[in-house]
Amino acid sequence: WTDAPTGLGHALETRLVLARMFPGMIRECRIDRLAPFFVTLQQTLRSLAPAHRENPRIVLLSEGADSVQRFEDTYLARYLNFMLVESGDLAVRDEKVVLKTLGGLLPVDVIWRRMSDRVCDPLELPGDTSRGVPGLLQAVRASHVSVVNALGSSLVQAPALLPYLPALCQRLLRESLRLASVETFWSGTPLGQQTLLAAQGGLMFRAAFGAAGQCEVSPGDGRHEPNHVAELLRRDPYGLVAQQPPLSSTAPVKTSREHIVSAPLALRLFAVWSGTGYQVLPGGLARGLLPPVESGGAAARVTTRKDVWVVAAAEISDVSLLQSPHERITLRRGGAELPSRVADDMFWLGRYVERTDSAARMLRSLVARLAAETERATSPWLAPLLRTLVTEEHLPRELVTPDGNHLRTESEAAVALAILCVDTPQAGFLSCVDALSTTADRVRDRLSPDSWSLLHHLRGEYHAARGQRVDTLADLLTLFGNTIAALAAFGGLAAESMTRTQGWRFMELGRRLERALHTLVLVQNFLISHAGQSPTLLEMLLEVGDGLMTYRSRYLAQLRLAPVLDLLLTDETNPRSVAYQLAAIAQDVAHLPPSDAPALLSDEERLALNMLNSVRQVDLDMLEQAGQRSDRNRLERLLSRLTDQLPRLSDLVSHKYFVHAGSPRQLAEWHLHDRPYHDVRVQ
Amino acid sequence: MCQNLAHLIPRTTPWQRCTYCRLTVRPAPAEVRRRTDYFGNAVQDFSIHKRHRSLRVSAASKVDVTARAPIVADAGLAWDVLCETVRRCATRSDLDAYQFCFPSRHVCLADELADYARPSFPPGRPLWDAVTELNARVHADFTYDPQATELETPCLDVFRQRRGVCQDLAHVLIGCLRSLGLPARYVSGYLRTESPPGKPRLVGADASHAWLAVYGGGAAGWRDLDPTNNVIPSVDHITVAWGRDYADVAPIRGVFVGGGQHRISVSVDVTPLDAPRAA
Repeated sequence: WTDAPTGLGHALETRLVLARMFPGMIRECRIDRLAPFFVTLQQTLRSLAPAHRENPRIVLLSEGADSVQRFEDTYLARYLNFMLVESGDLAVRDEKVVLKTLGGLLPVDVIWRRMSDRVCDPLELPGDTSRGVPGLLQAVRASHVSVVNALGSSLVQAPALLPYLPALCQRLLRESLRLASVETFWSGTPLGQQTLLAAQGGLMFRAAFGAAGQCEVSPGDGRHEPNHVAELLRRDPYGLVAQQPPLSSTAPVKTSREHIVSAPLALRLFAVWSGTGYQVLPGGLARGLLPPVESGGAAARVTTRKDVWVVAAAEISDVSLLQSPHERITLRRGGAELPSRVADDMFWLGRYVERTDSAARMLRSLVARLAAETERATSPWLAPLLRTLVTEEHLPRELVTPDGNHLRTESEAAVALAILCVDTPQAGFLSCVDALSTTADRVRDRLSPDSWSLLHHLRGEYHAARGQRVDTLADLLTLFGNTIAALAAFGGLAAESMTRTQGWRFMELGRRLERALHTLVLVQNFLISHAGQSPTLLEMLLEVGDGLMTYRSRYLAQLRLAPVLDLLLTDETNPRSVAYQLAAIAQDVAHLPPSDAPALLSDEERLALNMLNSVRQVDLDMLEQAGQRSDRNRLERLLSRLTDQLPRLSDLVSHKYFVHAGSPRQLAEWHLHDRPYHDVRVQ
Repeated sequence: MCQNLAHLIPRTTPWQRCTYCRLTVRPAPAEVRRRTDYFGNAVQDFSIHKRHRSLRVSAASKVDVTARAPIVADAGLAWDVLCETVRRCATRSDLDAYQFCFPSRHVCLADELADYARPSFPPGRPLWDAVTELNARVHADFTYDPQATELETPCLDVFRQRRGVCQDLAHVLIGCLRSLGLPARYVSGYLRTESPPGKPRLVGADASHAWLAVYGGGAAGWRDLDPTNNVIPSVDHITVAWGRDYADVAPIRGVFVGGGQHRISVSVDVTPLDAPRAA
């Protein structure tokens, strides 16, 4: 494997775990340590920096949060003290690779890539745009960055080259291969073709240039027919190799049912270039294949992991990359340079948390009233609530009558299923929950395990409910109640346990923005577009805005318009009021990373202060007249101005801090003559 | 913000010379670089870091074109002999040509394509005879239809429906030739906009055009064919770039960061500056 070998992190982790559990045994058996290998690895990577820079910046390029190798990448990055990045964090400027951070663009000298070279540059090697760094090939050509392993090294691991290795070794190094490989025949030579066609049984067939390990046809597979190979060869004469299936050595392995069985073992070893030669890891990754019966006959066979011990020949050096307890450590505040992508994701995490919370509250109130079967068709609060839900896309438009005043169906089951978006998984409230958990996955390593698992379980609950086709409103109520509780817990953890870093600040900013916007829209829909302030309407508004208890403690049972508006709009002691959000936004924006002109306020700071001041200048007259049609205009105008300015603030922040961090898209390739344009591949 | 890679400037060949070229990009790019790619084509790289709502790329060039020597049907060189010769890769040019015998991103090898081509390729027939006949057959059997296909429509689908644009026809013909074992490469370029008086206007003259080139052995070299117009390209065809298929020579390709939909429009104008001179 020469492309992006995996398994090193697992080998290291296994050894560290065992070393912690059996330190005495390892010492007595005089097992060689793994650390010197990693020291060499670090040194080699440093020496590869172009122009032999002192203190080069080395990054570990990972495929992303969804990749199966994510754990390994994170583990290795932490152990070796390299920065873990994804393709979206890197860009090429002026043929140099840079890392996009909040503080600006930092140069990158060495990239340890943990993804296949074929997807490393979506500009020159068109394919998947979600991975890779556009322009990377050109940066490598210009020798401004070193990529390890070099791009193109995947060719060396092609099985088609295996039959030639002995002869190559003789020609290049004038010695024979020290470790013989499995006998391989390649269909690209006449002899190879004959062998493949003749000896059909007992040979294992693989793709000659594909990823190592892929099997086309193998004995005992059931798919094996004599004509199948001939057919494959005809279609692609150069594409097959045949190998004798290796006779595996075995080792005792414990199965899930606590038996000890003998299982075939696969051993993976690692070597790194040390400047003068190759240094081999005195250890490795060993995997035992459990017999298929044990794993329930599943197609993928379960493996167990074993550590590999090499008895040291000489004195064991006392090298360790883990910090020695006697070393003096410098204390730090604040995290390392925050990549723009993480800041973007934290901002949207805050927004989605708030969006889900407000939607759950509205839906809970709606469902509670519907389930109680009181005041259905003539309720004054129904129309504005439905309108808010539909505009914010938490309820499918088809569920509501065209005039927007009623639900189209009276059937409880139909309503419940529609809310859960059983038939349209991409729309509605569920898409909000999905967006929330997707964003949380992306910043999983920045959230505490408690926070992350809260959000993770939330998604699980919704998908379970959908799968079971929950159709009673009472069950929905429980679901929404749990949602609100989970999100409140998340908010609590963020307030009490998250360190006040820039990441936290962006998340807070997102939350405040979203809450302010939602409350404004709610107030507008409930009061301004709907004349009359019936007590039930005001009560619903307070319930959804989570201010009912406070209101009652201040004004007892009298539901009047002005106090309600005061509580929801202008009361800065109420964490749910618009004024509170705007004050918090102004604070957060003032603490964002400094701009180029620190003497004057930035655009976003000025906008935030502007909004805060206009809310602070609302007077009692405005609130009281809000109820009357004639003079309602002042408050209405203020609210609609704020509703316009808040998204603008979000845009300003995005363009200033996240503009580097958008997801890349492929320019629709030109078409000859007047063919209609191609749809863009959207992330 | 975007990063782009363009093949817009004609390359210099034995029969054409690019004497002047200018690439203009609006908004002004942060960097523009020129280099040559693996196939020897001129490549222009540019990237824009400012926010922008539209991108305008203009390439202007002056090209000296000389008429290519007319091809006499080779009495001696049979197409199956050529296949074997190329496969042996005994000479440098054979080895270079051999890479164009293999399937690529837009061109697949298939029995269907070989079967379609075979009536024109009886054993022992001279290569150029057979190839020109196949070119004419593709021109006759296929209908030029811009609505029938998209960029990613597979080669075999185009072949089965017998409709497509010049890019598709070129890919199909390349596929047929490669399925028989002959090296063929894809050529992208421009057509003269206004044809000389008395001659019909060529299809594909308002945008980039595509045709192909077939390898005729070390002595004859690569020779062009245009299946869309059923002509042998000469002074009216300006070669910009060649490669295994469209993916290697896309006029412009890019990756950008941004939102919303986008539309592309293309136009090409080719005018003669002087009267043609004798070759």
